[in-house]
Amino acid sequence: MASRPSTNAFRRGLLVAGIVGIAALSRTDGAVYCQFGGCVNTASGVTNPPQLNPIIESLDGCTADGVAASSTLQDGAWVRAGKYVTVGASASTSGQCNKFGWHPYPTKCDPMGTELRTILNVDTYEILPSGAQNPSQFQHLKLTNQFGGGTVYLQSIDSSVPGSTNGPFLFWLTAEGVHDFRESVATAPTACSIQPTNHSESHRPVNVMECKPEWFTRQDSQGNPIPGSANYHAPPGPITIIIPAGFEAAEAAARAAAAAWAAALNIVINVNMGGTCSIGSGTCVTMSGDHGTLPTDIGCASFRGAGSTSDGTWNDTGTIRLMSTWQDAHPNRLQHTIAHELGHYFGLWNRVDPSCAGPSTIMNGGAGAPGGGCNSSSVPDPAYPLGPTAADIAALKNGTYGQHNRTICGW
Amino acid sequence: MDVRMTLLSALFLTVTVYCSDSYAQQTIPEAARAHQGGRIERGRVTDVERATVEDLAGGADLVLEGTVTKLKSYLTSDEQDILTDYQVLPTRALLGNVTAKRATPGTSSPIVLTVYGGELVVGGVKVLVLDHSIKPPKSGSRYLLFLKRFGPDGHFALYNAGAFEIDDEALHSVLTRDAQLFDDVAGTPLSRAIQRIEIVAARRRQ
Repeated sequence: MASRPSTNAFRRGLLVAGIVGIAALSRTDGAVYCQFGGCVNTASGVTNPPQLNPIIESLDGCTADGVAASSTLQDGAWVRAGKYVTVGASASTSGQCNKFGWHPYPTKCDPMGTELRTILNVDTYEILPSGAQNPSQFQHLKLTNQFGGGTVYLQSIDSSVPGSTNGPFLFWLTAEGVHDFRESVATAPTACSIQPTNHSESHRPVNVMECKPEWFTRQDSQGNPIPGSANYHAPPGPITIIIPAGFEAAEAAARAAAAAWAAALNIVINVNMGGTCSIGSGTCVTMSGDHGTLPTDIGCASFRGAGSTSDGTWNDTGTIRLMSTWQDAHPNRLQHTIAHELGHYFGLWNRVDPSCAGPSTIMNGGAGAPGGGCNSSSVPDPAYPLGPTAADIAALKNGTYGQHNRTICGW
Repeated sequence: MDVRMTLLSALFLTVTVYCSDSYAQQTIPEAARAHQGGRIERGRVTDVERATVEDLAGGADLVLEGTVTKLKSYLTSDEQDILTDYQVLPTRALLGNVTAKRATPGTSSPIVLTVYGGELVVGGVKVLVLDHSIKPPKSGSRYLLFLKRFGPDGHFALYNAGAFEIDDEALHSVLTRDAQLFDDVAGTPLSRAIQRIEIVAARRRQ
């Protein structure tokens, strides 16, 4: 008899718990979810995934295509070799785990406190242009002790601002090529097992080069750059170079220049003797001998092209305009000139910054770079390139096609 | 007969190829017809050479300080490009003879500066031809100009992009980019640049 009331109470408890449990199932985030014999902790305010934003800054000021910009580097930014960048990270998590404990009399789930979803670590490492990993790895999060009460975990950090974190970290960019800064964030485990516990690894490439890259950017009618506009560039190809009648003597030089560009960009360039470009074809380049007949036809050659107003892709025949005296040129000088003008066609501007030593680019110093005049019959300095250099290839492959926001720092 | 026909065919082919080659790039009117309702943008990039005040003065036929006024833009004879003429009102001649051959006694021909590029409406289509290397002069602005004879008497073009907008004592290159090629000029106050030009002019007179 004495046990009967307690049995009844137990049955009532199970019934109530069942009703509460069923009711809880219909509730939304943050509700108490009790099960027979226990409670389930619930998460609230969770926004997934944890946020991660790498912040890479130059210490040398930046310009983006001649337009003043902040020192924060955009994706695919260009920095001069031998310069430093700082790498920080802003990371944040959100939400909390609401913990509950089973309370048998009266039967209920009691709140047992909350547990913030916090950052466990934010790490940075660097993949060097060689493909090897920089042995130094960096952890941005600095866990603090407050009032002697143990470690305090944070829900957000910004290590680009010196102070409460270990960052930002200084990286010296010595090797030319792409330095890939990789960052990750992981959250501390919670009683709610909030998933995911990390953000997918972030990749932030920085292009490092000694010779300042310059692209053939678009301008308005007053010659001012159009910020954010696509630069002029060749269509994907295949490209055809027409050697018109009267330019047969330029065949060898044109073929060699075309072969150098084709190998550099891994594209097909056909060189045809005679014939014409199809009207309205941006994949075709021809030659003329009228450079010097128009006002301010400076130097010994120029490139004339017609670009789409929307994306900068050439949409009509390009013309390599040589001077009427081009036949006087040493074959290597002529090849240099044609390769240089093709560089404009593919999207490069002249690279005359002092950081560009003559042999480092086909785009340095105009078409007559090897010295002694582009149409001289003398043998040019063999140090000068006859086709695109590694610096030219990198500037095009990493910078021109499909990547129109560029930041240039350190020059 | 067969021989004649063969020769005639060969001549026809030769003429055809020659004509085709001379129109390797669409002319502007052709492009305008193909872009009805659109807009055409084309242009030229040249390779400006690094130069000092003395280099520019030494290669120029005429160096003057003056104000420019836009006259007109027009198609070139092959209809591949647009040129624009500006009238130059000289305020100070520094090198060379400002007075061009006089058409009638008592009058002097105006100095005309012809530059590559300009805007025209051709067949209802707006056509913009850009000199990607050099900014067009601004009407009403004052410039230090290094000029080379170009075309008819009294007509000039810029010598090696030698045009510098005068802002008080400062000189600003008209290059769209690569202004460092003229660091020597842009880094020189106008009064000092004039002295240096006058030294070149004096040497030339000797």
